[in-house]
Amino acid sequence: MAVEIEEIAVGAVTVVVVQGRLDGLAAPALDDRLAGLTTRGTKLVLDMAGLDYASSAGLRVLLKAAKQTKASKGRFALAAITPTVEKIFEISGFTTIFDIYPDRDQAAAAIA
Amino acid sequence: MPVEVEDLRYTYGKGALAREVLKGVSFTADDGEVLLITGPSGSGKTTMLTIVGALRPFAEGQVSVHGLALRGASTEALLDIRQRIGFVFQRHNLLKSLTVYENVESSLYVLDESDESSNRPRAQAMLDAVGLGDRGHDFPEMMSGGQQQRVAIARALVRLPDLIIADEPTAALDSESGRLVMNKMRDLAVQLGCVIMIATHDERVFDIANRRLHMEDGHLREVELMYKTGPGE
Repeated sequence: MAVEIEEIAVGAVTVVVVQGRLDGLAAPALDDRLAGLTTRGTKLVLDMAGLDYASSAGLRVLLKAAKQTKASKGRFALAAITPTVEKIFEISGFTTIFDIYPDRDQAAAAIA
Repeated sequence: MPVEVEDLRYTYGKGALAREVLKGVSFTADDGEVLLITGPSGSGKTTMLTIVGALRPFAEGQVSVHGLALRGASTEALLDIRQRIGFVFQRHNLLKSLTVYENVESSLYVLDESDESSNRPRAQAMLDAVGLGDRGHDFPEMMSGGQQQRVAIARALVRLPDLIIADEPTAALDSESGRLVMNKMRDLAVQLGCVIMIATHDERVFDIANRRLHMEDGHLREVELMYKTGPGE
């Protein structure tokens, strides 16, 4: 399954729901979608409950989004990562560098 | 396909001294695949890897890496694609005056998406992954050859590349260290969904790959298929 991206509002927070496989083919789609959000001080949560896999290309999109959000005085958090993605996050140090919450509501409450 | 090579030809020298080392090489590689490139010295393995790694210009054939056609690409595009490639060589090329942490982090400084505050945790995680998590403050000369090569792998992978190119990475290592280095490199690359291309003479590590491509007299042929792994598996 290719990646599916949906955007919803939870109060003042924008939640981007990402499902499927975030690989080299799918990463540009998420990058494009996030580009419009990360440069305007958005409070942004990525809900990854339906994300089965993230490759190096997908991980770079997350790094870029976090960096841009920080630069624009926004806030960025991740929610509901699956065990497979968590393993990849551990290898790459992402469990340390990102704010990660059990679900999107807790993430949204934390950065609202 | 992340890597596509079609009818690649390359000649060193001109006129009477011309020597064609690649005579119409074609292959593809998919995410998470580990390809061994074998063949005798002078068969063109390193030439091919340096072309696929966007380090060597070429005039005949097509090579594309993640959709970018390398022949005729702008300098800016080539610089960008090189940021997506991790290199591991026979000599680890670590900087003696830098600590292990600093050597690994040096790979991140040029990347657009890198943030200084996250460089150390990323380096630490990758050193943990290669089994050297407690050696970050050491200098390379305090480590064995196998450990230094594992630092080189951490340095290559910490940038989250799409493609790893390794040229004789175990040539200077004993059997046990060579096996450990190759297994670490394969396991990490497969989990991150990288294509990994390894040129080697080292028969001791042939069984780590999905595919083996043998080069001889400028031609490439695929030989015995070993086991299959893939990204996210």
